[in-house]
This record gives sequence, C-alpha cells and structure tokens, in this order.
Amino acid sequence: MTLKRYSSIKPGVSFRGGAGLLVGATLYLLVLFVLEKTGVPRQYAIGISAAALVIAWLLPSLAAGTTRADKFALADRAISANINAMAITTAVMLPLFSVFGASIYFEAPEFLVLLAGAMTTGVALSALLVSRKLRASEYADFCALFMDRYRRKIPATIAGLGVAFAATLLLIAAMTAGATLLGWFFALRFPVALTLFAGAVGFTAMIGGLAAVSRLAALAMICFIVALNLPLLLHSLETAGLPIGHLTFGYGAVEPVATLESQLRSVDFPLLDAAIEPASAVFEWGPGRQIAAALLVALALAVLPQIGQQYAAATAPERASDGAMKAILTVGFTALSLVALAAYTRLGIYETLLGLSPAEAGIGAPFLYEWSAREPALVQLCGNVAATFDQLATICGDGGALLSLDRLRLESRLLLAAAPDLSGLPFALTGFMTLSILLLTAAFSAMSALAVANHLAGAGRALMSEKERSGRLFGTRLLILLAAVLAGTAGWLWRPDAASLTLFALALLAATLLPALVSALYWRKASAGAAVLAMVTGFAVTLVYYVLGRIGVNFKPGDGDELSLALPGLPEGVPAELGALFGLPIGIIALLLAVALEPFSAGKTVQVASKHRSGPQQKKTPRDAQLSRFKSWRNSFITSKKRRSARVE
Amino acid sequence: MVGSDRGRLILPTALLFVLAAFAPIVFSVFQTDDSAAMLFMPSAWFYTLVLLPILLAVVVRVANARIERASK
Repeated sequence: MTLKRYSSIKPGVSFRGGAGLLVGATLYLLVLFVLEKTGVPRQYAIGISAAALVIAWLLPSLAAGTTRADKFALADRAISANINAMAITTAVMLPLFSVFGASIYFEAPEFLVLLAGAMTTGVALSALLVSRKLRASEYADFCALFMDRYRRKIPATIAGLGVAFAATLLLIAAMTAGATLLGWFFALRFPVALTLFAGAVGFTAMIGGLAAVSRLAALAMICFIVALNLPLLLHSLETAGLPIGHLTFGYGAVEPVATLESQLRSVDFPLLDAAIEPASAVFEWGPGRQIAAALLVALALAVLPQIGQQYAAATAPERASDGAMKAILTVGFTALSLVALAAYTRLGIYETLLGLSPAEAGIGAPFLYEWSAREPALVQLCGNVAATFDQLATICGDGGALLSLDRLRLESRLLLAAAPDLSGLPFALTGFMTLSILLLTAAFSAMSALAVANHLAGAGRALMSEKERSGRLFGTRLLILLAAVLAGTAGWLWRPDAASLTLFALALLAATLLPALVSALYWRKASAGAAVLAMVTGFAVTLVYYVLGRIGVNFKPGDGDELSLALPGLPEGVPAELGALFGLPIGIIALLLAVALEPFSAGKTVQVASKHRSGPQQKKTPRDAQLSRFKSWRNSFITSKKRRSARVE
Repeated sequence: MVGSDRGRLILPTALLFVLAAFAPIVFSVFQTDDSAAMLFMPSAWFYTLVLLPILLAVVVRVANARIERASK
C-alpha cells in the first residue's frame, strides 16, 4: 500500500543543478588559477571565494524554501536515492572526518582508518536495521516512531529530549569547527565568524527544512569529493605517473614517507610530528581506546537522527535502503580519497620543507608567510608568525640556518583545508577545498539544528491534527533559531574541543537510543516502560561518567580525582567521552530486566487492556483519546497528500 | 511492523560485525611491534578502506533482496 502511494510521486529533490555546479566550480577554479599565475594578490582570490561560498550556500537554501509543513519536515517524501546517499554521507562524515581528517592522519593514521571502517559499518547497520522500518512507519523521526509503536507519549518525549541534547552537542562541535575554518580563511575574528556561521545554519534549516538541508548537503558532498580528488590526481600523476591516487598512495606516498622518516630518525633529525600541535587529546589515544571509540561511532551512526530524517524523506522504503547502500560506497570512496590525499600531503610537506633555507622559502614555501594576520595561525616559526618573506630570515634570529621542522608549528585543525597549499599545489585548490569543507560543516550543522527542533516538537506533533501541525511549524522554526543561537553562544563561551565533543555526543546517542530503538522495531515483547528505562539509564550513566571523568567528584577540573575506570583491553582507563561503554550495556540490561518483570508488575493492566479490546462499549480512557487523535492526524496527513496529488493531476 | 524482518536480518547483521571486527583485530594484534605494524598496515588499510565498504554494500544489498522477495 505504502509503495503504491509514494512510488508514483516524481522525485522533487533530485540534483537538477548538476550542470550549473560543474560550470560554476570550473569557472571558480580557472579564475583563481589565472589570478595566482598573473601575480594578483591573494586577497582578491579570497574575496571571489567569499562570493562563491555565499552563492553555493544561498541557492540550494532559497530554492527549497517553503511554508508547507510536509515539505518542511519530510521534503514531500520525494528525495531521490542519490541525494539521500550524498546527504547521509555528509551526516556520517561528521566534523571528525570533514574537518579533522588530515590531522587525525598526521597524528594517528591507524585511528583514521579505524574510523573509516566504523563509518561504513555504522551506515550498513543503519541501512539494515533502521532504513526500511523508519520509512515504512511513515513518520518523520524517531519520536513519532516510538509514539506509533507504544501508543504512549512518554517514550517519544524521552527519546526526543535525549536526541535533542546529543544533536545540540553535535551542533556545537560542528559550528565551532566550521567557524574556526571560516575565521581563518576569511581573516575574521572568531565571534564574528561564529555569528555568521550560526546565521547561515539557522537560515538554511529555518527557511527550507529538510528539503533545503538535503540539497545543501548533497551539493557540499559533491564539492568535497571533487576537492579531495583534484589534488590527489595531480599528486599521483606527478609522483607515480598514474592519475588514480587511490591506487598509488601506498607505494607513491606511504612507503617513501616511512623510508624517509626512518632515515631522519637515524640521524636524529626532527620529524613532521614535532611540527604539529595535536588538535585534540582524542587523537593521542592508544589502540584500546581507539577501537572502543570506533565501535561506539559505528553503533551511534546506526541511530543518528540526521540519517533517520533522510530515510523518512525517501520516496519509498526500498529507496531508503537503496540510498543507504549507495551511501556506504560513497563514504568508503570519500574516506579512501581523504586518506590518500593526507598521505600525499605528508610527503609533499617533507619535500617542500626539508633542506629549505629562508632565502628559498619565498618561492618554495610561500605558505610560511602568506597566511599571516589570521586566527588561528596556520604556521608559526619559532613561536612567531611571519607576515612577509623578509621576516622569514630574521624571525628565528639566525638568518642563514635551514628551516628545521622542530622550529615550525602547523595548526592541525587547518591541515585538510590547507593541504593543497602545504604541498605546493595552486591556491585555487586550497580555496575550493576550504569552501567545500565549510559547506559540508554548514550542511551538517543545519541537519543537526533540524534534528533538535524536529525531535523536540515531534512527540507533541504526532498527536496533532494537520491544521495544528501547520500552525506549529512556526514553533519548529523558532526552535531551530534557538538551537543555532544556543550552540553559537556555547561555542563562543566554551570553545570546546570539537573532536572530543563529537565523540561524546555519538556515545550518548548510542547509549540512549540504540537498545530502545532496536527493541521497538524488532522485539514484540518490548514495552513502553522498558524503553523508557533503557533510555534513561543509558543516558544517565553516560552523562554522569562524562561529568565525573571531566571534573571529578569534587567538581574541580584537573585536580586528579577525575574518574577513569579500567576495562579488559583498556588498562589506561575508559576516557570520559566513552562512558557509553558502561551506559550501553547497563541500558540493555535495564531493558531486558524491565521486559522480564513486566508480567509481574503490570498483570492487572494487561487484563484490563484485553477486556477493553473485546468490549466496544467501554468508557474511553485519556490514553484512548490520545490514540484516536493520533490516528485522526495520521489519516488527515494521508488525505491531504492524496488531495494534493489529485490537484496536480 | 515488529518482528517480521527480524529473522532475515540476524545473519547479515552478524556477518557485518564479523567483517567490521576484522580490521580492529588486525590493528590491535600488530600494533605491539612497530616493524610488524608497518608490514601489515598496507593490507589492513586496503581491507578497511577498499574491501570493507564493498563487502558491506553487498551484504546490505543481499539482505534487502531477501526482504523484497519475502514481502512479495
């Protein structure tokens, strides 16, 4: 029935602007390349990049603007599988990969590869367990799905609050990372960059809801894939003579760097690691913690609300799982491209800087002084930032000496954006890479803001009539604005470690939602009480462990009383971010116990309920009234859809 | 909506975990010794970055096909 109803709808959110995007991107790259080659100052190229960024952000946002509740919350259930796949990939990449990818590679390459495996596994889990079921339920989010399954508001409300909290943390992390990049590239102060970024995120999510967010995410992901693969192609051609960097990066970059580093080590020369300030303590974790983090990331991605929204907006259940399957391949390809590019960038930096004297740096490594007057600074020499070529010779006080890697400081949060520049490629590629990361971060942030608003409003909305629901659209838009402002303020005052916060938010999602959602979908015996208990215990244990692991029992950070419990395989202790290693099993145990004890505690209720089903003249309880309002809303939704299709015909 | 696809999804989900667990196990075993890690890394990378997505996509595709067949 469902398939029949929606398979006839012509996809409304497909990628019709593909040719425009291709022409625009080519034109942008050509103009920046010509400007650089003709010696025009870099500020002009950055100005053109600003215009390109505004156009690329504004067009998909405005094109999907709507006043209709169905288009806003569900994109009319007309998102094609390809757009779904791109948007899911955007959600899966998180700030972890799309912003910190190169820095993770430089600091702990095995962690990056593990995370890549976790991401593909997470999408596969989500495709198998959630995609079809969520789309077939015909609801926009997990709250409504809980409402439908249990016919009670409490599980939906608890799930909504838990998801909104975790999605807000993800929003804060993404906005902080995006604003840092925006501030660096366009030489803006952090508060200004954060305000602009929050405004852009709020605008996209508020004006067009899921349709706008999905379009922006697809555009951003296509740009990101191209931005990764263009420099990779040039590196691979130059180094290995073959244009497929994904095949050549092993013998073309990883092995030469390993050989070079072992030679440098043998003569006591500093390695590139000495020049890189770790972006996060998370990237210095040992193998046990890395594996635990990867496992939790995979589990959390299975229930990521941003991905759930994409499933809900697919044209049919089988198209939802089709989109997820395509997303697995896209995530795998993007991760492979990123790892290959990071490997070539590492080699490129060694080739550029080793044996370079300040006199040669003007031509060989202009990035050493061309990114001055920016916060954060991309490069520091002897603790200072050189503003001109002449300053390079005097900045360390010994003009003639070679540039040593231990005198250099590279800002690791900017490594991916600046990767082409650092390895001697044209500035146009750096500009395109930065724009694509900014678009990607903005799209992910908008997805998160929408998830916060939808899940906060979702539980209540499931019980409303169509008229009420449309009336509440204004409230949802306000919630989005509130989430963007709140996340912006938190990012400004708190300046969080975005990678650490992302991992914590994902762990919190896994512990809160995974047992309850999987049991709601696949376990007939699961009850509303059991789901609530699983969500509350999972959430509480993970949150309490994080607080105690961060600030200790006496709430004074850094005085040594922070909690760090050991587990088999983790002798160094479970870090605060991964409290879900306790929260998730405890949530599952709570769920199992609650289901096992249900017949003893609710025997009377079951009898009353079965009696009620057999006797139609029974007096209506408030719960029945709630249920009937819920059903009438569902019917009115379906009728309005049919009416619209008839009008179109 | 509850339970109908559960049986058909147990096998693919278990297979997915086995496939995904392979890479971490490789890392955890071989990370104790630097030279061994360097030797084994390229193949572990190749598995995680190239083979794993393809295998997972195949698993999802097969599971979907089973559900499609069963629902007809």
